[in-house]
Amino acid sequence: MKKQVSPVVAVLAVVLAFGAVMGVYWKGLLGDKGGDGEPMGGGGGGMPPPPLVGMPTVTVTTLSGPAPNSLTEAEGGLQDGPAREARFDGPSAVAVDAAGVVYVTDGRSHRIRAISPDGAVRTVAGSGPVGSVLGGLSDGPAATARFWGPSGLAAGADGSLLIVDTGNHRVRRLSADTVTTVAGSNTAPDRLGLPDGGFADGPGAAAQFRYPTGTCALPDGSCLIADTGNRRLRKVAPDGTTSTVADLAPAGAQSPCGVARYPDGRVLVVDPAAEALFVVTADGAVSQLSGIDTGAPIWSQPTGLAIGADSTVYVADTGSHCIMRIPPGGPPQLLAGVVDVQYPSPGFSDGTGSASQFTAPSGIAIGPQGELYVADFGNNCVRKIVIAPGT
Amino acid sequence: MNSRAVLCALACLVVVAGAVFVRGRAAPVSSLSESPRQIVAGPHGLFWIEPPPSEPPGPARLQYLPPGAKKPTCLLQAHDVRSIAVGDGTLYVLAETGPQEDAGVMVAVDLSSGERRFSAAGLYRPQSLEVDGGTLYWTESRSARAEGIVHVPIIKPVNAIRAGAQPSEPTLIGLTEGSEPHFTGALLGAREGKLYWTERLGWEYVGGATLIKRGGGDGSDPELLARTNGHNVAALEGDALYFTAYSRELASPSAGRLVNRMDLSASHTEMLTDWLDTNGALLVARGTPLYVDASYLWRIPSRLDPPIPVKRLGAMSPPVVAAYRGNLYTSRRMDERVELVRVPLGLRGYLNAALPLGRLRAKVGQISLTPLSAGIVPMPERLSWAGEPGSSGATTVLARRPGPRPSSVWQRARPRGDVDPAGRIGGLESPPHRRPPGPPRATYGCAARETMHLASAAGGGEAR
Repeated sequence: MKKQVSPVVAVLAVVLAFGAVMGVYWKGLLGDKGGDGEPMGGGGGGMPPPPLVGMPTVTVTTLSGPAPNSLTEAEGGLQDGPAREARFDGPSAVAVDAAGVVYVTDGRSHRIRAISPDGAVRTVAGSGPVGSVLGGLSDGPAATARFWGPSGLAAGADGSLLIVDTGNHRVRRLSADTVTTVAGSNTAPDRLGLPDGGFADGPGAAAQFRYPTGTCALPDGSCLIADTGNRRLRKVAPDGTTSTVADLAPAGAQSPCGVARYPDGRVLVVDPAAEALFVVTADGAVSQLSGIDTGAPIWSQPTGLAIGADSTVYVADTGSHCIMRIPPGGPPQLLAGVVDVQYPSPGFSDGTGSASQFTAPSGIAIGPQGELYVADFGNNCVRKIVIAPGT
Repeated sequence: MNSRAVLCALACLVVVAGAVFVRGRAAPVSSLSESPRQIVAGPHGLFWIEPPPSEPPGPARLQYLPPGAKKPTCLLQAHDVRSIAVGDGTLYVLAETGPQEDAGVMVAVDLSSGERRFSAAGLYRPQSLEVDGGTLYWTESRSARAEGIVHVPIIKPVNAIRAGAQPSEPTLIGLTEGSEPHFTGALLGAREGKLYWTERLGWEYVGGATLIKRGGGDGSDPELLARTNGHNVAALEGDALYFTAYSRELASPSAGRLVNRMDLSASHTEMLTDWLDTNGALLVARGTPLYVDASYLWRIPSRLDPPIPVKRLGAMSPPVVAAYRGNLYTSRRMDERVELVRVPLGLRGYLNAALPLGRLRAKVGQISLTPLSAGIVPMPERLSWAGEPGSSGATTVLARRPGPRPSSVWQRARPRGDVDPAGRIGGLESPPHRRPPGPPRATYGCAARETMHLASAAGGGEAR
């Protein structure tokens, strides 16, 4: 005998089943993933994957430059003064001395700036017009010296400042308010009349570079240079004598632009074009740093590099607009910033986790207390990152 | 008075008005294969560049339409034609003969005799050309030195702005950086031996910045006149420089544009209007600044006021425009084809434009506006609006402020996401026709300089 089902119950069951199907469909759970990760089907097209955010115990603040504004890119300029009134134009690299003074290469202003711990900014070297791609070249008193797109910086143990003068293909030194050329010489112009750089080892006055961009100071007073155009790691002795430490091209380097040294003496070179980190040993052997998933959303154009006393590597990524940390032997971790897994997500905001945003951070340095300083190139400011103990 | 004469006079008036109205229409000048790269209008006729088609691949064409002619003639074919300029009866053409980096040439065409001569060859990725008196200004570009390094301008593509009476002996005016392998700014023109130009900075980020500079060939460094966030456009007219910048009135500044005027003699800048669409073109015709976006042709007021819609244009985006003798030339898409049109800007143009706007006004409903702020742009007391999707998919709100000339003070704003194409504002159903008297159902206001929102009038709460 057939059991009679109430029409009301039947209708309710059909409605519930239909609602459940529609609910699943609306949520996009039935949607197939396209080949490029785009959600397919589903009434709502599926929810986009949530962005990756920095650690909640890592706090980002703006040390100097305009106040954060997530709506617009901060306007660049050249202005000394208190933290919020100061203006940068393309800050590209940072270095910190023992007193906690942060030095910045202000790339588009062709100047070197200094930030005191309270955020006040002053120009310590460089002159010439503002907002011009064309820089200049002159040694002498810091106030009248000229640079062309400086993009690398290292604080020496003797209080001097090593400056990589990219557009002039030279390594300069700022000491006692005087700028001198340590290494590098004139090279032939290119088709538009710009000095094209070259390659030559030897005494400082005869050495040649091609668009060098990154540097780190060594304990003996010499420095390492990421010679971007020549795809080599160079070493400049205190007297300017230049030598080649390693040719990075055979290992796959395309545009090495950042360099840092492990406590054990190995050297790490970052290459945003190759999206890779290269390890150079004392004997000049070059290999790629293992354990990095170059397909990860947070890994896009690693540019800035710093290494802590515990061999932890910090990377500023201009493509994914974030700061990463690579513990010894571990994979990269998102330290600060917001990374949309589908689209670039630049921004400008202070805070922790999802509230910390950068735009093309390009330079990073470690302060005396373990804090990080970041040259936020796209936001024309310098950011400070404090990592809570135990993070 | 003879009634017959009066009737005749009235009939004549109607006929004349009708003729003026008809002549004020946007008239097609020529059909195009695709949107032109540049249009130049002048006494010798109309010139435009048709970029090389992708399918099937072919050369770029420089088309020429003499005055009175019905069909254009192809003046020049090349691998690519980058820019043209007319000066002293000569048409100067920047072209590329091949895909090589140094395949740029400059050709001078005598517009009287048709004689052509090569002025220069071996130019590197030439992009823009201007002529002033006997001096030519053009840009060349260098390849990127290193890919993927964004923080060192000097090793990204670098553009050189050059000048000279003889292109074979150029003078360097200035250098600009770029993210593309060619110059992405614009040469605006020359005044008293100084070239004015715009350049783009870092567009790969939040929109980058637009710099406006001037410089001469005297070896001095270029002077920075203005720096604005995002992609902006500029136009030079006499001693005035007009340029756009991020909106100050919209909730999202980058979603709209304002227009500034800089007095070059006094270096004084004043804001003229706001609320314009992004991705438009700015030009000056008969001393009047105009802005063309994908929907409308707008007149920019001479002092701080809302922009004035002149005509629904439907220009292709991004608009390519030229002005000559009271006419505006641009391209638009009509029924799957692209055509070059001439838009009269005089009385007949305004008369023609007034009626469609009147019809548009008749379609819209009305809501009351609460003037919450004395913002930079005076807020209207009454707001007429229509759910009209703009070029970016956002809905446009048209507003009308009552006054002695209500038809000339239309205003437009685009409160982000608050109005949908179905005509709902902040979730409140809009009336399809003029509302009967009574309490307003929604209010619209500018609460602060950077915040625009819709709020329920009854409760006063935000409806967003």
